[in-house]
Amino acid sequence: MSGDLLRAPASGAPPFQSIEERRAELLADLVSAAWGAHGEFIDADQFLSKPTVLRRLAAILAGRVPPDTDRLLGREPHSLVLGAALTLETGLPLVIARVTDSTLRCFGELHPGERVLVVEGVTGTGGSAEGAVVEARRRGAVISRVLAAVDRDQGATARLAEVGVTLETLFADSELRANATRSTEGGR
Amino acid sequence: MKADGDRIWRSIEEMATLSEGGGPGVTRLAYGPLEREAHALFATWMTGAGCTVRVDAAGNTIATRPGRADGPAVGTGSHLDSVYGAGRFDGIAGTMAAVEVARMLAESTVETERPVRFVAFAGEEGARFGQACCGSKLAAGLSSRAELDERRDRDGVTLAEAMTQVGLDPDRAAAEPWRPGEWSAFVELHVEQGRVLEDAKVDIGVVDLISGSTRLELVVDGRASHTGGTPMRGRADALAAAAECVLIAEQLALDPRHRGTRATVGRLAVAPGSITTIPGTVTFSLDVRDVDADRQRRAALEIAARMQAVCARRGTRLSARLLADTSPVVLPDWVRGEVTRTAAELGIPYRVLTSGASHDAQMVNRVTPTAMIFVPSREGLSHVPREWTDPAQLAVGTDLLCAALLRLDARAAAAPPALEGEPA
Repeated sequence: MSGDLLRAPASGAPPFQSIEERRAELLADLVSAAWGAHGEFIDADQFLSKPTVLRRLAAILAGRVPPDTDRLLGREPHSLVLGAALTLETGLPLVIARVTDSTLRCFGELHPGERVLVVEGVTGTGGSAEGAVVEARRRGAVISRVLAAVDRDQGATARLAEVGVTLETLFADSELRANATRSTEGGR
Repeated sequence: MKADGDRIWRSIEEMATLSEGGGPGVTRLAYGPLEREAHALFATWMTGAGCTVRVDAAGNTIATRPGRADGPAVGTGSHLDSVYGAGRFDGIAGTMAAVEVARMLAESTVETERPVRFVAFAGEEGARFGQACCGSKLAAGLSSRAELDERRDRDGVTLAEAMTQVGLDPDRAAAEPWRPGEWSAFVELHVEQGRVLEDAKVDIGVVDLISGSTRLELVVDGRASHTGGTPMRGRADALAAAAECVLIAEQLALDPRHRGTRATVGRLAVAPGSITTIPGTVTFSLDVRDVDADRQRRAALEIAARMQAVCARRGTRLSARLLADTSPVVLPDWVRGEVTRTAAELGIPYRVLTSGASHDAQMVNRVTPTAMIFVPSREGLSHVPREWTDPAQLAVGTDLLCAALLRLDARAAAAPPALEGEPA
């Protein structure tokens, strides 16, 4: 904790904490916000509604948005908040996927040939993200990737692979479990 | 079962007699002999309430009331040390609430499923060693042995030496953290140390977030010279620049982007400190507290950058050094949920609020999921002799604490909750 903060080099070690510490603290706060209220179900609304969690998620996930992305896509109800945070963090416009009259549709501007990144709070079976991929492709979007804050290890990776999409996640289910049970590995 | 406000008050008064220095208020410093006397008194009371008492390597006193079966315990407790010239309630209120819960259970026929533990934490206040939550931090395995040699009080006594002087073993203290498997949940009761509850006319607060803090030391270098001989134009007055810096910190924390951010310059030293010399160097502190982790650090950097611009305009130079940096903590939603549901069942109104100060609860939360109950502080005052919480409000808090512990005990003993749904 020495050195002049105002004259820190543009690159190099972060001034406050290492990337690993930052990630571990975010995981612990996310688990605190969302784990256990409904058994082992992780409720995205529980952690996306806390600014201290949402702000860091957006900041970290922004670094994983591919540089050639034209638009982000967030699906109602559970992933729209993360999509909104990420659109503010990156400056990329947002497509909103919403079910109306029992059909999933895209709202906001979306044009054929645009490269779209689907953003998810929590992926389980992958069905929700897959639906968004299929609908955005129907509108002519090019989609190769889904970016999720948390994956519950319930088959999303395989399911999305079947439609030619790579699932990238910040936190794995095993990390959540280890933290929630205060086991040494992954605990904060 | 009802908490006895008069009995809680008598216990608080008896604890308050353990004070050094003879000045106003209570002075019972971390890892001093009086703190150990207070722990011994706590142990006597808990033994009287049918508990088995032990002291862990860090000096935390742990009283256990057995349950029907052994297994992970629910716990409660707070600390018994104080700052210089303190009041009677900070820490003590929560520890005496724990004593009262033990007495209530002892007088009842209630059997818990698993053990209940009542804890008096050692050395919570940072007043003596500049390190808060010493006992609970050791219990959470977050302090190294070396740290105990680095921290010194104003007489130069290290934390390790102070521990040794009161019969504790610092080597063991750093090597014997609590085991998560022995706990199922923890609830700390504490005085609010603010006035949210008093203003809301509500007796109970339930804490969702505990603030972190980023502390900087800033130095403005100007040009000292004769106050009479030097014209006003072209001066490089370090104190005039620092004065603007103080206002920058205040202004940023009042910005609409910063609901909940607190920025304070609490210490400022002027050199050479002469009536007839223009200040050449000013060294000052900045403490930025927030419940939003990234915003806290960004605010500290933004304040420092704006200060730098002001200093440059005034022909002075600013440097900034990081003194300390701790993150805010989200307390587990599910434990808080059990506490708020208990309050609703008992018909006790409550507010969910954030904690501006640090507490043992945030350390214990690293061992086991932890919640915090606040009771009101009159006029929001704390760390002063006038600190006050009404005994009737303490009784309400203790009733909630007792019922919440029983609810958490029942939950821990029940089968793991069924999955209510899964994300798609």
